[in-house]
Amino acid sequence: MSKLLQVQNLSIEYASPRGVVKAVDNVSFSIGKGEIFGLAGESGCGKSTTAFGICRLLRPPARLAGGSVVLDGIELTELPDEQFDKLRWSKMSIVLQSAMNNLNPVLKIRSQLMDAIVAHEPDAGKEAAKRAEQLMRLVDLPADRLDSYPHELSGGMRQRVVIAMAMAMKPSLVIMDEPTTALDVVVQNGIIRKILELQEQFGFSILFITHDLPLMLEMCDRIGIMYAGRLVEIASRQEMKSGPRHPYTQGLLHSFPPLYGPKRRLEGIPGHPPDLIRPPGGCRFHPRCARAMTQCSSREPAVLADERGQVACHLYNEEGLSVEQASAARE
Amino acid sequence: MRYNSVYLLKRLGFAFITLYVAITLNFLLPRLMGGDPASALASEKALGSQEVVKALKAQFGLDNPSLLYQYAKYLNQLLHGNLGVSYANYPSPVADVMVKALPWTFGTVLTATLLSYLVGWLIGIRGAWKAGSLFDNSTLFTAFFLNSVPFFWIAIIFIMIFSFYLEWFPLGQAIDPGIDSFSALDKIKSVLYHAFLPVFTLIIATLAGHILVLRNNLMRVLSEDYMLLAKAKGLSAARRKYAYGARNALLPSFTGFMTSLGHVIGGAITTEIVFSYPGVGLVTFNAILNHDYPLIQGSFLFIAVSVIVCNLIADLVYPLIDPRVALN
Ligand SMILES: Nc1ncnc2c1ncn2[C@@H]1O[C@H](COP(=O)(O)OP(=O)(O)OP(=O)(O)O)[C@@H](O)[C@H]1O
Ligand SMILES: [Mg+2]
Repeated sequence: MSKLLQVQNLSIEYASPRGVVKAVDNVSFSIGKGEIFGLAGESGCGKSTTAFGICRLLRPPARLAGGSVVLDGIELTELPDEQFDKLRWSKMSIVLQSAMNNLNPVLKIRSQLMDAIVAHEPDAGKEAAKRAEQLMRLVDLPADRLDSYPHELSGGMRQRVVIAMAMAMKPSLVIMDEPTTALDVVVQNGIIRKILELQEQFGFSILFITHDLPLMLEMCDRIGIMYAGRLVEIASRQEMKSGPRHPYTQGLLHSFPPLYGPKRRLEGIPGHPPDLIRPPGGCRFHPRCARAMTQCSSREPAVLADERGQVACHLYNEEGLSVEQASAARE
Repeated sequence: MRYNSVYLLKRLGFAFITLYVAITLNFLLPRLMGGDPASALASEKALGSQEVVKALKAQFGLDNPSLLYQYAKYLNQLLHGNLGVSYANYPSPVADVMVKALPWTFGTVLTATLLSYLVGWLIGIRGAWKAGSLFDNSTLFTAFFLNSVPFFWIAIIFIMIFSFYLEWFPLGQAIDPGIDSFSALDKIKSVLYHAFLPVFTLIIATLAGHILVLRNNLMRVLSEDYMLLAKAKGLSAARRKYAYGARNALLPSFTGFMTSLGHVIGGAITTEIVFSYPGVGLVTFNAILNHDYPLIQGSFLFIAVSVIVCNLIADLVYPLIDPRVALN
């Protein structure tokens, strides 16, 4: 599968009065053409920040501290703003978290669908109006809803509009940041099915962000797990289902009731995610990890990449030595 | 049409009730202030002659002590469009005094209000859009400073500097004394020359509030998700700034703007006193000093009507510009 998006060592910081928040720290992953890549992790681990970093939507106090983002062979981090604006929506679109607020409350749906098209094809005119109608049909909404204002639609309908909007320029990458939170389960299922159907039809890649691990195991080809600003594991859906390797991923999976099979006690993960201004040294997860070893608090685990995916954990790092051991070995 | 006749009737009904209450209060208030205008006028114009006092009382309808009688007489006059006769400008009718004063007030206060909103909004929009820039920081600082200075203080300082010491502008009045002999162009010049400082002062005094409110509103709008999405869509900066940002930030200010327009007639009393500018404000002020009931009532009526009408317009127009308003 050829790579559509390659994120290398992406680091993003927020300047806050208490200090620098390292919200995204050396995150690397890639997404293939037509692939659905899931990004999961507890609230505040930096999922949205990663997404904003990729599509240059960071606002102060956020700052890109380093790394590279290559989309379809183009290095995005060095692109001048005017050229980046041309890429927006036509190459990658985004559906934001809290999808309810994605739409401008005082503009009709029609003008919000059309302005996205006209911004990239100033001469589209009538053609844009026709395409707005097609987009509505694409998400099973009647075309006369184009003349509605957002508040006149139900939450589910609004979300369909936003998804239709993301399709407007036939992008090759669609970022979806928790597109179904705040919707009830039935509506949520309908929307997910719609997303998968559209993906099948147009073949775009998806960066799908959610807390909902079971949902992710249903729909994503590969899944990345973030913890406290770092990517701790990447694995295919099958690998994730048959047994993830990182203790954090294991804990996260055990926090959800199993979809199939016998019920078991939910374990969850004891403790809280760390303060990202002064994160713990070594592996950031070690204070909460039941299997923590001595080197976990002193050394950052190297990333092990093999046929099963990627994992950053000392358990899987044979030559992993603690700082003390390493210095002893040198003498 | 976004609203039905029920909404329209409700708003109109409400406006009429408010107007009626205002008229009644208008009748009562000057009488509660006490004082005897007929004696005051007689002592001023006829050495306090008792016959003159009696004649004046009869003419003003004060000979019958029944408030109800005076009230009925007042309402009846109003219904006939008669605002009565000014005591202090006897025998000029109140309507004449008001009509003479109105253009001056409209010319200055209305101009100042419109300019102040326009400039304040433009500065506020630019500041929020470039939040944290030198422009933003310096306008914010200036606005906070101006906002904490009382208006009359600014007005007096300006008169001292520009009229008294520098003598760039007149100390008062709206026109030069022998203006009738002036050419048309010189007449206009004279009016502008006299109006400049009051208008300028009013703008300076109200500008800060408009800047701060709009900047605040726009900052809030800019932090909304739909603004982020507008950027992700690749919309031009101009469309994001005006069609998405400024438009949404201006909506909550519209009602305030209409209310300000409603207060144009009555809102400039301080300015007109400080600048001895012969508008409605000064007329009202003098009428109160003179216990000139009919004139006080007349000017309060003008003020009440303009406030009520502007609020009515705001109520009727707002649903047309903000689709979120539910009408019931
Ligand atoms: N404006 C800000 N100033 C300082 N810190 C911030 C700011 N915005 C976010 N952060 C911090 O950055 C971290 C990552 O935030 P982000 O929104 O990316 O998390 P997330 O994984 O998307 O969480 P959620 O699942 O709740 O959406 C959080 O710890 C948050 O506290
Ligand atoms: Mg998020």
